[in-house]
Amino acid sequence: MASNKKFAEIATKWNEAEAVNHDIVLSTRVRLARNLAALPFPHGMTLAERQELIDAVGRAMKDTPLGQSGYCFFRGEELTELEKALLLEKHLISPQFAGGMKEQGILISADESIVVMIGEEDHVRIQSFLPGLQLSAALAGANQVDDWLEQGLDWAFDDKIGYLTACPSNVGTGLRASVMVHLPALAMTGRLEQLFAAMGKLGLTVRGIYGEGSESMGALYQISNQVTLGYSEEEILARLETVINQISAEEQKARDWLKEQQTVKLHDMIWRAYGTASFARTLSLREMMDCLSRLRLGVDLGILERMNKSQLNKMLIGGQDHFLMKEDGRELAAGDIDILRASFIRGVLDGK
Amino acid sequence: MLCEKCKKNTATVCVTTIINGDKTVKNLCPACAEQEGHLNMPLSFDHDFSWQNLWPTIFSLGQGELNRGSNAQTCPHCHLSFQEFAKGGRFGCSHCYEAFQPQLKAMLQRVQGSEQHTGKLPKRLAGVKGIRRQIDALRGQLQQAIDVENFELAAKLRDEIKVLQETVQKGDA
Repeated sequence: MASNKKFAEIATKWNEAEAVNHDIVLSTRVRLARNLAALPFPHGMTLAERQELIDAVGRAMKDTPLGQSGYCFFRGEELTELEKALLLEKHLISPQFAGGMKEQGILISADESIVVMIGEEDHVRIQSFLPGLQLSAALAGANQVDDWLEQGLDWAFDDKIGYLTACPSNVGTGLRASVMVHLPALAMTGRLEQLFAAMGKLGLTVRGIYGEGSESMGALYQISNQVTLGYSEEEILARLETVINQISAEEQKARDWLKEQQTVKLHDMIWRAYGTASFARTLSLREMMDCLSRLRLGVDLGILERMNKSQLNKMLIGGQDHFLMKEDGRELAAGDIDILRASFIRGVLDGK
Repeated sequence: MLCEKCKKNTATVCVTTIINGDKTVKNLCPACAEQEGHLNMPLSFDHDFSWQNLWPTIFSLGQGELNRGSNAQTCPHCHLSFQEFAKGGRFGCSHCYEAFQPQLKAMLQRVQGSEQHTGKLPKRLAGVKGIRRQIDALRGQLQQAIDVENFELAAKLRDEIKVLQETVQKGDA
């Protein structure tokens, strides 16, 4: 690694441009929630019980491939605040996990496709990340880790209602699959509200990647299953995939419409974003995210041939506050971060 | 040129309207143009989100439902009260599921739409349990075969179930 700080590389599995098979779907995450039968759920655990949990999971991993060189295990106290912030900005851990990392543990694979959080809302949360729309492959990755861990751990499981979780909204499969989608054309044509209303009825939820609802920055949304019980893992994923494909088709239609009916306006918007990215001297996070959304649309539609997806993905992660500050290693004022951000974006455009 | 409306920002949008042959030209800044509705893109999609009614509403948790449970009750294992659960939304330990089973039933039907797990099983249980699940599925098919008077298929299914049941009994012993 170029940097001596952990997780400081911008590259992460879900953000691999070459592997993305989809313009509209950026990434897939599958999470399995598991708990040990013998311990209370994390929010009610004593410090000693938390240690016991980390030790038990650590022991179970040791004799499986999870204990081999492809994976790293850290206890909460081994990570600095900055390293936690970097993991959060890569969307590999939850804000809840980043906020309370002592007496927690994390297992992370070298390519960051597998991240296991220990001691979050549930004892163990296995996450599998992949670029593009790859629900089945992501589930297979998470299942594999679950199979390895259960060799040494006794999961809380009920004959009728399945895997038991701290919150009954996860009980059964413990499965939450989330897909990150980029919906600029639906946002521009005012169709998102309609879409969000429909999602609830389908047992799915939509959240902005940054911020809630349609206020999200950069037209990036996360769509995930709400129901975890009564359907098999495969059925849950198949249902989500059907809806994702329909949303993608709607977004594509809206893009085609913009391209044919609003040609000048669309080109103008994309090239203005390119102008901002090329010449701005300060960029807030929101302005950068909105700019990136337009640039990505331009690349997808073949309008911005001078840019590629690798650059966009690099900006998406590297343009966030802690990635910008990581070299200095100290907190900067918001205005100073915005100057760094603009300079970073210009650098990526110059091929740095 | 300054925007004709707010007279503050630079006008970058030229709006031409022709009403009954009278042509008016206004130079506006993007913010004012948007305010006046000139930048809104009209929609010409000829269809709707037709799939929005495919599945019924399955996620609507009524808080009243939660409070109706017997609140004095606590989990014998971790001593969490149902009231505390209703407030925080999280159980204290895996035994809470058993302790609060009556209240949970109605809630799961609301939150999850079902109360029978049909997904992955832990390896230690997969053997016998997996076969039981197979038997349940075959029983369903058997009933269907009888309903349509396909007795040939019914006989075949009955034999399959019998074999599986014997396996379970051996496994249990």
